[in-house]
Amino acid sequence: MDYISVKNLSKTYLIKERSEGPLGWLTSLVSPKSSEKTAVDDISFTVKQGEVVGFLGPNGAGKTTTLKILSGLLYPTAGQISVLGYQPQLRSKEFLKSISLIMGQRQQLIWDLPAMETFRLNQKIFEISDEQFKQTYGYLDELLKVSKLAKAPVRTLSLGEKMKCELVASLLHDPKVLFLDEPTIGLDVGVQRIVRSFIRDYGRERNVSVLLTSHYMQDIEALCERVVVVSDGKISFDDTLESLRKRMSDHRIITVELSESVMASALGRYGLVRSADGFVHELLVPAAEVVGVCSQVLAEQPVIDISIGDPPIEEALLKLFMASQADAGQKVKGAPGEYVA
Amino acid sequence: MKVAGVARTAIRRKVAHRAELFVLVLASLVPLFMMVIWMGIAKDAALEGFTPARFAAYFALVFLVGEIVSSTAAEEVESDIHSGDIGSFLLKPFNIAFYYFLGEMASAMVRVIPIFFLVAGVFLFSEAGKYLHLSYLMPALLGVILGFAINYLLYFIGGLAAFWSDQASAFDLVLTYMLTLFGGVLAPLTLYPGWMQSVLEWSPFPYIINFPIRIIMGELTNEQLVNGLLFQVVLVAALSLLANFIWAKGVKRYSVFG
Amino acid sequence: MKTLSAVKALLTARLQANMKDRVPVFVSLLNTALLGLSVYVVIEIFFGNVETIGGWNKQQSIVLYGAFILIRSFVQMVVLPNCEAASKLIISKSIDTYLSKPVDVQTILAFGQLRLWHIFGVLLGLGLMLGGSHAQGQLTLQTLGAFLVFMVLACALVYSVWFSIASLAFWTKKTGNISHLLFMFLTTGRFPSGAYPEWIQVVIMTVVPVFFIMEVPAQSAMGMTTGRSLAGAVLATLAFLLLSRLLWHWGVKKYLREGA
Repeated sequence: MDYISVKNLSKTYLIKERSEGPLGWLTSLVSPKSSEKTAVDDISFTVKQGEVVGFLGPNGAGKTTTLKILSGLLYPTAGQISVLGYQPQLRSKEFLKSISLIMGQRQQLIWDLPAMETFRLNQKIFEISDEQFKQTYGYLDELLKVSKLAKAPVRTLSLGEKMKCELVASLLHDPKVLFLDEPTIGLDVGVQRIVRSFIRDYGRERNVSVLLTSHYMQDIEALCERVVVVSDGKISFDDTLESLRKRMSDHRIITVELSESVMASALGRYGLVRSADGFVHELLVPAAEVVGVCSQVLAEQPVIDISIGDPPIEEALLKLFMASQADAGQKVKGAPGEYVA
Repeated sequence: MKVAGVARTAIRRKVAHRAELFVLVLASLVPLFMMVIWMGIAKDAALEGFTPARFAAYFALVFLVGEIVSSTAAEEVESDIHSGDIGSFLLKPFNIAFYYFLGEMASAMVRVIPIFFLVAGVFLFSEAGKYLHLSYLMPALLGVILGFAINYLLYFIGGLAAFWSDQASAFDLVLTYMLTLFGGVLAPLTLYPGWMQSVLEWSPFPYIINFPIRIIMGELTNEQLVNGLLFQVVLVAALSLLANFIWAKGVKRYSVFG
Repeated sequence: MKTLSAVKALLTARLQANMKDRVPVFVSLLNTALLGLSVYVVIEIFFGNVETIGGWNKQQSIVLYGAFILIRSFVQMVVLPNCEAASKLIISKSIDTYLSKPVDVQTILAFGQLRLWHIFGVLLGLGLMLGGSHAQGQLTLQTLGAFLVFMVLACALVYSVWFSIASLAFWTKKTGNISHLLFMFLTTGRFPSGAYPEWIQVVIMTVVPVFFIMEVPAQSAMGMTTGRSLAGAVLATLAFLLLSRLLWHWGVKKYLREGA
């Protein structure tokens, strides 16, 4: 069953242009100039019950915009969207009661009161019975261990502790769909791991749908089976994480350390030089040629150390981002010849 | 020149924030409200020696001088101490009080320009002009500068309370109240009950706004003028010493407790 | 009503939090003492020189000053903390976390904050008003009833004016400055409107209705109200309540459309 379905969604912002100086202020008052910026451009996808989908893309690609539209915080410009059968933009109480939006950079916790007060407030707001509150809170507390933290004023908590309380506050009403916007941003590695495993366990046990954006690849790799990549407001990839990996699996990375500094161009003939840092160079080589290239390099260069590895998944993403940007660029300029891959 | 450099950046910063400064000006219109109230009173009832035009002159000057001397030093010092930004000042070879002082001077200059023209208009185009004695301009300017320094030092010391308490803004609240009540913002001090006047003479509050205004309005004898200026100098010296002393104590505490 | 029970939960928590900290109690006591001093000084200055200001004698002026102190402290106790918090939420876009909840967000934001200890100022103002009324032999059940009605209207009015300003945060980031300005305008209410030239009287009856916020309640404490002042106060309060509601509504709509 599709919990979320998005068809041909677009969102354009109107940006008012301000001119400089008092004269410019006057002209913009008389005839305001504005330009349109397309944040989301005709995207479609669906998310099933129980599915955890990673929503990826560079900054400004339209991830947060999409998330806000899906949770009813922004009106779409065009397209049909449905979350649990509701139209988010109507913001019906039933709809708001069955979703939750968690933003790593915005906090709902009342900062000068203990977090427990925010929990209690949400209990009232979402009309949760005492019994259900006890049960859900008990469950969340077991996973996140917040009962001690919830007694201290929020402002005295660390960032990680706040995030744990934030998660509890956002999930007390037992939502069926979760929107997570950068849930691990700014957290230290230990807390990141806790949050990650919490989201995974919670999603599985409650069988909820999760749409998650993150800059950390580890989040995506740990949580998502499926990945949707947006770039410049368009979807450039929508498939399993595995297939994203496979895109790159036909290449390997050879890292060589040399005893003397060599010009990057000198290594260019073996393969694509990914990075060169004085003595250490990384070469991207097709899987089939790895053995040949290795022996060649060993024979011809002053090698101290050599190793072979898989390209990181970021590489695949970067390639996707770049590809779609190049596409966009070509469309505008209409001169394919300008772009050399 | 180090001082000139710091002053230049201070002025640039204030010019960049001039819109906010302008709102501060709007928010200090109290003297103008008092002006219309007292002018109304003087029209209906005879007050000894006070005509509506003399009230107009007095409160226009309160508005101008009040703007010149007004200080946000306390708030800035407090926020720098609470945010810990003060630490970076401690590393610089520059007198901290002087740094804030330059910032305040810059902000006064930026704020005062529009008010100056407004007030000048009042004096040029109304009867109020005849209460202005330009022959006293130099001593009056000296009085304003000393008043500025006194006011600044009071607020700077108030701001230093932030080293000891996070509720330090209570101190500047007291200062603001005192200055409004006893500085001559609500009425010329000569209209205050006699006993209050003789007590206030020995406090710093009349010497910030009221005293320079009385100089330019030609209300003082030469002896009163010289004595007043001397008292201002003594106040500046004493408050500077106090500020230095408290600053040293505060820094010591800061470096102990962090 | 879940919005109401949410507000109740919030206020209870806020009250408890206010009880824990002792420093604000002293700061507020100091503040109140200064307010008391200012009553004395201002009344002494003015009535040492004249018999009446704007048609009000010394005792009546003390009652008016009481109204000023009461309203001012009410603003600091309830209005300012809530409006500042609301503006901040809007400007920082943290309002998202509230908008994604099934409640009347404006109501929650209007009553979520409280700086309890300004209650000393409220009490001082109340004491001056009722004491002044008693000294003039006007403190009857009837005036007390009228006083309560007008005071409630005045509080609702001043709150609506302020929340309207706070809602402007959907359009501009400078609401703090406007709030500053409004606070300054409140000080005009220390003196009766009759003391000001006519054009200022018009401003403080309409644009910033200080007249209905302070002078009319002060009159009510001294049995000086008429049907017309009641009609005026009710009208002004309803108008600004409506305005604050509409501005909020439009602001949220704009926010949802543009993402601010």
